[in-house]
Amino acid sequence: MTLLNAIMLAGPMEQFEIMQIIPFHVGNLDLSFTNSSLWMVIGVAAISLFMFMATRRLSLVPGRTQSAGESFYIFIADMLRGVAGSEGMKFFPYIFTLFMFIFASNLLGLWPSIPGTPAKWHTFTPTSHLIVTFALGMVTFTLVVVYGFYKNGLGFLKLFVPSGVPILMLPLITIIEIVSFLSRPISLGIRLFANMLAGHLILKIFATFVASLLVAGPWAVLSILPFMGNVAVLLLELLIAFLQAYVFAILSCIYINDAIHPSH
Amino acid sequence: MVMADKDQTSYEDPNDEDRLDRLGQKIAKARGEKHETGPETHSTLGKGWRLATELVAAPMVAGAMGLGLDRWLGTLPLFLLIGIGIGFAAGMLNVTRAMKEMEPDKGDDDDE
Repeated sequence: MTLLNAIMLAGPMEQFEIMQIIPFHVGNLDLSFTNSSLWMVIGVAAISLFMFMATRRLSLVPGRTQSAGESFYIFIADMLRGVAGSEGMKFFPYIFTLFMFIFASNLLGLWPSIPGTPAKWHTFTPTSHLIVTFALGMVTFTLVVVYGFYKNGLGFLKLFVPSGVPILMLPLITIIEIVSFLSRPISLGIRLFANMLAGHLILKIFATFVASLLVAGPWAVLSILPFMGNVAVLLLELLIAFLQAYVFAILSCIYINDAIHPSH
Repeated sequence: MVMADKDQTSYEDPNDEDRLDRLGQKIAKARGEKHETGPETHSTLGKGWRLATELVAAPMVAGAMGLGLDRWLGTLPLFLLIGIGIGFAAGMLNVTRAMKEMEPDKGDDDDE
């Protein structure tokens, strides 16, 4: 019963609350180690462990872990080569890291919290915060801008000047192209953040339905319905955890391709 | 050692350069090339989210830029409205591009 009470008392937004684990302040800057940082560290540790296990005993006929690791490698490598060509393969480490980090964060966030632990040790999804996903989007954006200018010099600006446009329309079109370009990190960030936020909200709300039906006397029978719903949503969330990491990675590939071949 | 099983299968000879290729061909033949690895596995849900955010992000960026200009120049609604207008145009452009990318038979596109 105490567990049920805890489920009902906590609002659906409480799972997104940032809590300090190790407070650390420099002047006005709050650099505390929070639950978000903790789950990023857990994500990175999980990826490192997985990749270490996968590459520990390399053999020509791969074992289970090795072929799992290899299929991640092949998946990302094929995607990047398909979008940006073999020239884009120099960005493979970045795209692979990006994909694995987002995937691990999304997936680990679906892990249930240990009942009865203080809120700051609860499971947390770093990618459910706009600032995190936006920062990841900005890394891609910065990479594209810096590499685009480094590779093409001022020719990179051709990206904003489509060919075959009447001279009268050119200033307007250029402004629109620039806005479209600037909106990329925002749309990357919002998409991932909104997906994660929405999924976790739905899970929590369905869980609240289950809990409140369970204490409603004879109506407790009906609690199986939201419970089944929650199972279905959780399965969907597993798919979304992968899908959004994939979408983020493939869009990064598309944008990097723009930096390599800047002409529309 | 190596010579002993040479006649049976040569895949285990580490000095044979082509052994992986031959194994790959054999596997591909056994699979009957039904498995084409391509990144075009967008689900409908992914597409929907993609288009929605592409449409929304541009007006937000342009609107924020307009608002910034207005704050600076003290012409409040003017550049905000222009910005949102341009933002919608850019959003439509983004959506059109995203749709074009999603088309299954794009065949490396006609740009460049």
